[in-house]
Amino acid sequence: MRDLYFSELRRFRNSALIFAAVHLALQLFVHRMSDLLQKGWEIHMVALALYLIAALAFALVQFGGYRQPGRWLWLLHRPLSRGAIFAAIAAASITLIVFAIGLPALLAVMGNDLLTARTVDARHYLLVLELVLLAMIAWLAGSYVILNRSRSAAVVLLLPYLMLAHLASGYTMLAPTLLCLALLAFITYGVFKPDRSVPPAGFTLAATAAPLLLGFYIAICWTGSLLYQNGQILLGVHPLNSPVAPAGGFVESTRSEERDIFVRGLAGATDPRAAQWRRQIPLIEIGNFQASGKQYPVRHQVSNLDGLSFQDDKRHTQWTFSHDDMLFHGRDNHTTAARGVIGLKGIGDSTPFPSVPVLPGPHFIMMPQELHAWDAETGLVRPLIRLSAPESLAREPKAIGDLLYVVTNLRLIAFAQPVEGSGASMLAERFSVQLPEAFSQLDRIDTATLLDGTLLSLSFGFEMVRGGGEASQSILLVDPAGAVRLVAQRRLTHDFPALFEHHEWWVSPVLHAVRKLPAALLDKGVILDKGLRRQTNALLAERPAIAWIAALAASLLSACCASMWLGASRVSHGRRMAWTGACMLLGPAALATMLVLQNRMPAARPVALPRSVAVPA
Amino acid sequence: MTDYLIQTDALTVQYGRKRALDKLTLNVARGGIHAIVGANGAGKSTLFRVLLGFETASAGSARILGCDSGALTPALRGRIGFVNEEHTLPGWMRVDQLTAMQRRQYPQWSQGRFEAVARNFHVLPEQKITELSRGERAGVNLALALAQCPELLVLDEPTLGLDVVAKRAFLEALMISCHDTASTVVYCSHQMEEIERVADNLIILERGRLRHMSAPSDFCERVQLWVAEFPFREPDLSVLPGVLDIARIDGFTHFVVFDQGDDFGVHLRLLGARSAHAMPVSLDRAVNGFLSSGHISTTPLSAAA
Repeated sequence: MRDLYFSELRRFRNSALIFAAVHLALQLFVHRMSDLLQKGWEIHMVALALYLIAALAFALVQFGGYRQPGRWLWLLHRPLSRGAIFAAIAAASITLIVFAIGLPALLAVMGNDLLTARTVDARHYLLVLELVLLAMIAWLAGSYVILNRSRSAAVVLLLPYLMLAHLASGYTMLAPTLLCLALLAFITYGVFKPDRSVPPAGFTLAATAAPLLLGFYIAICWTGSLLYQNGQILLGVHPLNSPVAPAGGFVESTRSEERDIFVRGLAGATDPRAAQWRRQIPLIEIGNFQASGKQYPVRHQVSNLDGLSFQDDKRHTQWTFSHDDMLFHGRDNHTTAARGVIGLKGIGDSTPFPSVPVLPGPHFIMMPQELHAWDAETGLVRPLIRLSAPESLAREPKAIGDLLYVVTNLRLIAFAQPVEGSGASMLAERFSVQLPEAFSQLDRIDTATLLDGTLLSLSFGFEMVRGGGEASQSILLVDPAGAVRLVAQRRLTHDFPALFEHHEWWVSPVLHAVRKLPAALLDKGVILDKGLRRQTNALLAERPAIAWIAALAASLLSACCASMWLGASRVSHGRRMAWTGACMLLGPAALATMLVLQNRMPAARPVALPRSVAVPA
Repeated sequence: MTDYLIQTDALTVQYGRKRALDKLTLNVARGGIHAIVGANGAGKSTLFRVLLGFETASAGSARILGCDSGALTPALRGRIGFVNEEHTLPGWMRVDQLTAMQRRQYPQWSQGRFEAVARNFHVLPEQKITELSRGERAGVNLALALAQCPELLVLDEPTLGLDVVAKRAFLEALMISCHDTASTVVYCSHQMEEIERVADNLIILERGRLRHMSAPSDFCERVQLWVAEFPFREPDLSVLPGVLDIARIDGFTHFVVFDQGDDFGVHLRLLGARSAHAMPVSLDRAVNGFLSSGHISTTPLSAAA
């Protein structure tokens, strides 16, 4: 085993040295040019994709050579167990990944930490660890794909996306990462055998089927959606790709001008003043805003949901938030020297922020239950709004007229605008409106200030295209005393057919639930709807009858296809029943998985030989 | 108790509608050099892959060294050497590194035998595998396989692509080593002069089936060449028994026949042959005739003539 380990290291020694050197040089260059660790997750994802592609390519080259029949035989036909051979090659590959990917990345993080005043947290060291683990996952996935007898097994590449593309705490994400790693190691070991065409059996079959099921499920949903939407585009009837949106629908509501949406919403109003409002609307100032975010950063997440630094021009200082001590740390723009901290009360205060904030604009520091103002002149931070959990602020406050509007997951609240030099006073609430629908469905808010009050239009339906329920528009009147009255409400029609909206569900209700499970289990800082303790919206959504019928049809069709396919094969009765049952329960994804994992061995047919002229001796 | 190193019983391997092995029943005894010959697609390489557990049979069974070929343990694999036609060795290693690795893995390793065999190919220990010629790589591969002191050595067309000198060195090294040890060798080749030289037992496969098994000399004795002259119109030769191959050369008709005595001459004369003479054939001609009967129809003879 030791010899094979060193043999494999020797095989890729030069490539690893070159990769590591280039990688280190690039790391140093990029870190010199910018603070890569504080960039948003989008930039990190691009970099991660490059690492994963490199690890994947490494596996393809490595096992692409070994999988040739002669070389495969040379590798495995020796007095070593296949476990020892696999362990030797895996250990060598991990060593190479750590050396070529992990080490330069670690050196870059350490360089930032020890040699500069940049903010480097424990989560950034965790980022390096996650990077190495993800590269190992990519290597395992590539190995599995190249060693598998079916190219369709490439759908296994979707498993890491499904399990790990979540901005939860880095410490929390270690568990699913290690689970994904273990699962892929197990199934890759399952195909690392002399006869790779033999389908797995028993527990290995179940373990192999799980990632394939999820991969095929996502592939079927994506492909189906893509084909359907492209068909609509070709026919010129795609609601989002047409110059004029379908009348009365959610897309029309989203695209509407502020005035138009009031006029449409008030069309069905029974209030006697509605006609007067409709005449006033074109003449007055209309405000519009949207809930600009539905998620907060989570402490110790390895990437960044948002940028967590801001520029202090007065002090020539860049302030960057640290997840370790929950304070902003300053770094002088000219000298790059450390410039102290900002705590909950301002510069020099070391009271930590209660949670990781977001920075909606240059003057605000916002957390789920608190909104603070940053005064660049004085360097002070003062509280403006405090809510009680589970009510959460839903990002960016919007100033309209003399009011500052804030959306929470329960209410729309209007505050008096903060006044300069007003000391430590909190904002005074003018009025608040309970959201008539779930916050996750909130699409847009429009306000019209009338002579006798304020008209508010709240449009919902953000999740409708994903099977998230109905869309509607509510118009409320807030009188000068702050009393709220619903004056009009209308349902917005579906732009897409129900079968399209719910396709992720009816393709396989069970796999849909499994796919949505990580969102429900992991704390990703998502702002939850009223009454929810976890993000279970997709799991609890109601489905129309047509979706149930489609789910049943997909299950039955899959089971029939499986039964027919297996009918012509020499497969045991038990296995045939198991596959048919799986297709019934899990739908088309199980059928595709069966085609990959199950050998089809037709009944033997006699093959005619030419004239026999000799008898064996 | 039988002492067969290789046993197959109704072994069948099917790829889609094609059968690579068709109910093959074969018993290979311990000791000696067993040559397996057959046309391309006869199932030789498939048989080896099944025996070593790299292919699963569609039906039937295969045993090697008394063990089911699908359940070979590492210890058993250490007792089976294998040399393939491509001589696939890790190109990134040096000869001495590769040798050291194999030495540590194989408990029966004989450094003396490795050096004795490798010496014939003038390979330097510090040479990288990629720097070796095909012949040198074949030599190193054979030396590695023989140094493992395998109980059974399987050679799958090992001399393919080698020049005359390398081929001779390879065969001599093989014969000397086998003479010195108790290894059983299964040798697959299309080169009949090699078979004639080294083999104690000849196994002929055709389309996945066993067609013949005996000593090469016994096989040659059972195959004869008859040369007949038909002065008039050629009769219907399909009635002749045991004909493997028919060819027309310079007005004479050449028959390669199997298991036919002097009676065959009588048959020829009854069909109108003016003269008919029997003569022995080489192994090459005998095997070619034997195999071509399965591939080339003798019926459209008049068209060929």
